[in-house]
Amino acid sequence: MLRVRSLRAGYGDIEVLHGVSLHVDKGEIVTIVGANGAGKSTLLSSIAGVVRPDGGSVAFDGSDITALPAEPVVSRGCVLVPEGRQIFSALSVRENLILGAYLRCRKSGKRSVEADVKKIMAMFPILERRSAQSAGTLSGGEQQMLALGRALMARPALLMLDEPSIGLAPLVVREILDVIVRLRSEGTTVLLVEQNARAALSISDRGYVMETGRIMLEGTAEELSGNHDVRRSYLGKEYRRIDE
Amino acid sequence: MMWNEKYEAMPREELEQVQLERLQATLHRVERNVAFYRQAFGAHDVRTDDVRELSDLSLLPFTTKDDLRRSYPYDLFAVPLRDVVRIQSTSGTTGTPVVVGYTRNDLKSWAECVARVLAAGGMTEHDVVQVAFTYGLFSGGFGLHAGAERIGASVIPASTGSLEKQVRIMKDFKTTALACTPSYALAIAAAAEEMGITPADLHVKTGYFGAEPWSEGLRTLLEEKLGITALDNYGLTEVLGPGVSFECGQKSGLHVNEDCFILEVVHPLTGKPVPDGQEGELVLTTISKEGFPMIRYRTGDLGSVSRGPCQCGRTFARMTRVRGRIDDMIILGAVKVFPSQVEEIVTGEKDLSPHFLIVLDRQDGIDQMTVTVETAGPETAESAGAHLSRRIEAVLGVTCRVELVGPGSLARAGEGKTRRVVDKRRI
Repeated sequence: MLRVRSLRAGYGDIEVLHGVSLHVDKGEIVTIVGANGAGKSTLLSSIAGVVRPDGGSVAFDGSDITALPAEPVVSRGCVLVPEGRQIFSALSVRENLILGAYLRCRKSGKRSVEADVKKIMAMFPILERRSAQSAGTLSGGEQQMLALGRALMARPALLMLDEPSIGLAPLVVREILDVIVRLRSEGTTVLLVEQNARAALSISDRGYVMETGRIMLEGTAEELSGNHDVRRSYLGKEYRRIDE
Repeated sequence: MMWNEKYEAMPREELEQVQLERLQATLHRVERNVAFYRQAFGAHDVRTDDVRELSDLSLLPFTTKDDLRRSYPYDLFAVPLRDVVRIQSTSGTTGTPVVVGYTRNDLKSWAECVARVLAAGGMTEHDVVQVAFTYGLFSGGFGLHAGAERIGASVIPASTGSLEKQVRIMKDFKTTALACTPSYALAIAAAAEEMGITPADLHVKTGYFGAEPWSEGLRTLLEEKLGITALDNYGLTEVLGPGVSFECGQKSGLHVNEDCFILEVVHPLTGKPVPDGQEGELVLTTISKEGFPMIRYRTGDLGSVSRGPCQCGRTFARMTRVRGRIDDMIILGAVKVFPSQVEEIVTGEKDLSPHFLIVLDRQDGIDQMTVTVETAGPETAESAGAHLSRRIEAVLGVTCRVELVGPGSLARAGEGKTRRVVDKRRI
């Protein structure tokens, strides 16, 4: 579904991605693990069309989307939930959700958008409860649900999530992960970027480890969890799974 | 039968994407963790970031056997020793041994690669596998063992040793698959014959032979003598052990496990890549190993590669059966000859046994080749020698003397590879 080859990107003179290659097959949950500054957000932004790549290529569903700006990338079904949620604080929860369908509404029509809002509210009951509240008054976890819901309004084939667990309590993180797994079972492919490697790998099929703009390791979630460097650097030195 | 259809039959475009990802990750890891590679890349004025396509692999320097010897024992390891759960090594008969290390993931991956080798010959959990490779530092024993065990077959770790014991095990334990070197298989077959045991008394159906080059002639002989299908597989400890490539039922080349290795074929002298189909030196790069990654390792083995589809459905590129090692190549004046070529001709002669020795000498400044070969039995006429000499001249273009000796006169392959050439020309 997504094929990235030797992608180079950066900001001005600073190259952040030094030739990143990865792929996500339909129906997979793939995680990119890496510390702060590894270039993970830049990677997702480059794929999403927010940052323009300097080299390499991105193919989505067989077509080249490398140089495309953000709008057409979303229209094709590749949707980014950015780091830090970035919901519209002054608008209500409902309005935030409706905005998620911005690019579709003319084609799909108001009724289809309304139906989707209902579906998202059913998926996230907390959003239904706070439907009229302004989004800025929601808790961190609730805002993450809203950001996710908003992204889903665009009916993504591929959902890209940039650090969904950041700043959230462990129980809330668990909830978010459960939602992601549910989404996959309903047909959404997921590319996840996370510092919280343990949590992310626990729900992923495959992963990539990124350091200073380069992929250092790739493998199945099991292989990455079993790799000693990953365990030391990202899973905590004395990390032991409960079933070991 | 494919062990892992997802990778073995992966469309080329997807496979090449996987290769590129794994190659880049491997290069970054070795650049960071292995001083030898960091220095080699620097000296070659190339950065791993410069590898943007699979073809850019040719920008990188080679790794040679000497590099490996100089790194004895652990200098090429890419992970700390505490992460290495297995150490194997080459025998060191031709110099300092090469020591290799495997992480837990590497062992799993190795077993997976060998499982594919065995499944290609139809192995299932119902098989009884006799692993007659030496268990120990040599990677053959443990490699085949892990692959067979992964499939769930009943594995007999017979190792090497008494030939009579091997035959007894094969008969009594109802072995269905035999894994060893082809020369050892020949020795086992001869022992069975001596013990009066015929293929009808045995359950063995398939032979997985490797670790040395062997000819089609020897394959036919082994298939006849043991009543089996004999399949070739290729690997080397420096790169993995067994499991790098394997024959499928089509017997038309060995499929390379391309999700784990990238195979290049280069001109042995210039090092430049040669076109597909042209013979050259096989160069291997590992793309999924953690403990002991190898970048562009010059194997010293000669073969060629083809990327066309195979009837079996696998999309992996195929290499030809190894014709010989560059080191084994005999140069007589203007002619180049491989021991395996001589083997091909000798095994085609009914009056002669497959055991021979090539002796190279220099007389009056002229290179001479003598082939000493055992007769098949007392009935062999003296003319068989002249006949062989004419055949060798006709097929290989080289004049040689043939010396006939009685059966059993020549030293036998002990536990593995046979030494077929004695070169007395070196002063």
